[in-house]
Amino acid sequence: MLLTISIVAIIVVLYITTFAMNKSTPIPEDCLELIDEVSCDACNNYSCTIKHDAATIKEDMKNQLKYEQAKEGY
Amino acid sequence: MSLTVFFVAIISSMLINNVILMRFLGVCPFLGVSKKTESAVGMSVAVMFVMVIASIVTYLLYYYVLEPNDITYISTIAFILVIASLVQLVEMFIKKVSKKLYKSLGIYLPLITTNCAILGVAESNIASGYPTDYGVFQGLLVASTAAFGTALGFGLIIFAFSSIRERLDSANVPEAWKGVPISLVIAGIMALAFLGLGGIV
Repeated sequence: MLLTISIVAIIVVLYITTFAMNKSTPIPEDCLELIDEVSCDACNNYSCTIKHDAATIKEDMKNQLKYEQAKEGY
Repeated sequence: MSLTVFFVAIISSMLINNVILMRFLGVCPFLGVSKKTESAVGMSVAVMFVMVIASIVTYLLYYYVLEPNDITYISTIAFILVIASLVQLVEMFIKKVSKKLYKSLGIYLPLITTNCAILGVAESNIASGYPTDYGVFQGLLVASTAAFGTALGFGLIIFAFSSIRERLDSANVPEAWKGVPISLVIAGIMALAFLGLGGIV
């Protein structure tokens, strides 16, 4: 019984340690936006207004780009 | 031990006992991260990476620590904790070593911690009893090959499903069927199709 508890305790401590170490490691700056994007994609909340706004903003940006390219004759 | 064993392990775990469509494991990322092909590919590669490493670690833990001490009844809780720790370690390692790799894989890693397909593969490797047939070391090779095959199967299905969902975005689907309902119907049809592969190996 003592061995069982010890092994579980060791693994729990291992998890806490790795979790703390991972949290203290900074995320590369370039990837901060990507994390939000993926979390947003993976979310299944269909009534989320942030997601809707993000999609609308992206669409607007695409349209703006197309308009500018057409204007410049690409 | 011939190469046929490895070939059979890959084909069997990838197509015949497909982790998503036949065993119904990992359905959460299957539905959640299959809206875009790009996300699906990233998730598949991350799952493959963690699944193979987790299978090796859990196999060694079971046969070198839990079984000799006759405490196999804690295998599930031990595996869960080991997989969670492994995901944290892999994420930290990728963060430090390669920004490029983190950009393509790392962002999916936190989502894998709760992926039951990883635990399912670890448990099925133990239940398969590879050491009885091949010995502990060769059993490890077969188990890791089976894990690789399972991850390939996961990737194949999630990629195919994401491609279908992308096409569905521009399809004329009735309002009541849009989103999750039509996705679930498609998943069901895919599962039926894979059922036809049963009995090949």
